[in-house]
Amino acid sequence: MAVPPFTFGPGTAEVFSVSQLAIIVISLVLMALSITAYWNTHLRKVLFAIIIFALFAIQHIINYIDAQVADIMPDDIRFTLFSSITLAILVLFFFTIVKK
Amino acid sequence: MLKGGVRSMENLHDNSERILRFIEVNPGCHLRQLKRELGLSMGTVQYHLNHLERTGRIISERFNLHRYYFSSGVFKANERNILKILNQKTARQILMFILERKRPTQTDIADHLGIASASVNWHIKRLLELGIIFESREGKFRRYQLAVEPKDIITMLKNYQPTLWYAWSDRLAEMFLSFSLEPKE
Repeated sequence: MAVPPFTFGPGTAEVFSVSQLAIIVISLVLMALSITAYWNTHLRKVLFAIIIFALFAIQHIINYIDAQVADIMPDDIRFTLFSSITLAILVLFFFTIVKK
Repeated sequence: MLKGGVRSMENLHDNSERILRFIEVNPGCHLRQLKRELGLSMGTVQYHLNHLERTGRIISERFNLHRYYFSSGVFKANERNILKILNQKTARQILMFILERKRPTQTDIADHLGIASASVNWHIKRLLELGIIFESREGKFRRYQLAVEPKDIITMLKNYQPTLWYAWSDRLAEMFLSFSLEPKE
């Protein structure tokens, strides 16, 4: 079954833009905080935090650019990349909990 | 068995380095602060502090209720005294008020900070003992002035008091550490 091309409904593009930009800014701030924490403590666990927040920021930067700025990759690649990064974030988070 | 032994040695080294690093970033910190901020047991912190002090990497000085820890060879005696005060909330507020107002009385300080006169009196005595302030009489009033250069206090405050950003980064590190803490026995 063919999927129709994606378009934003009335008013949703603005909400999408604002929420995406907020997610990107907050994840970058959290990444910077983790880098400061790592600098101060040299705890290996904090490295996981840096990677998690960096991946989160990258994921949403790609999503935002592709949807609002320029079509940088086909949708199937973008969806695959999005779910792979989400999986990586969850696996890292899981390791943070179980790793002694 | 061997792997477990190696891991224990790594943990010991890690904890020792963490404590040393914390003292470098937060000179004038005390035992309970180290225990709280690093999430280690009191025994572990004490063990590493004793070891670091014996090997000459840190020094400690007792003052009032706490023993304060500093990196070796970094601070002069008067700088260590200022740092001890900057690490106590009420004493720090009193010192900042004296710095701002120049010659306040104990009543001015108590009114401004909203704390009991007895508490102000207790802290003032400690500040006098350390030679950070001095007392002068003006009629029936006793006024308090800085005995050290204000710029020294401001420099210490800027360099060694954690900013909001550092406090947040510490909390984030603590949060990630708490995810994997072993259950208490």
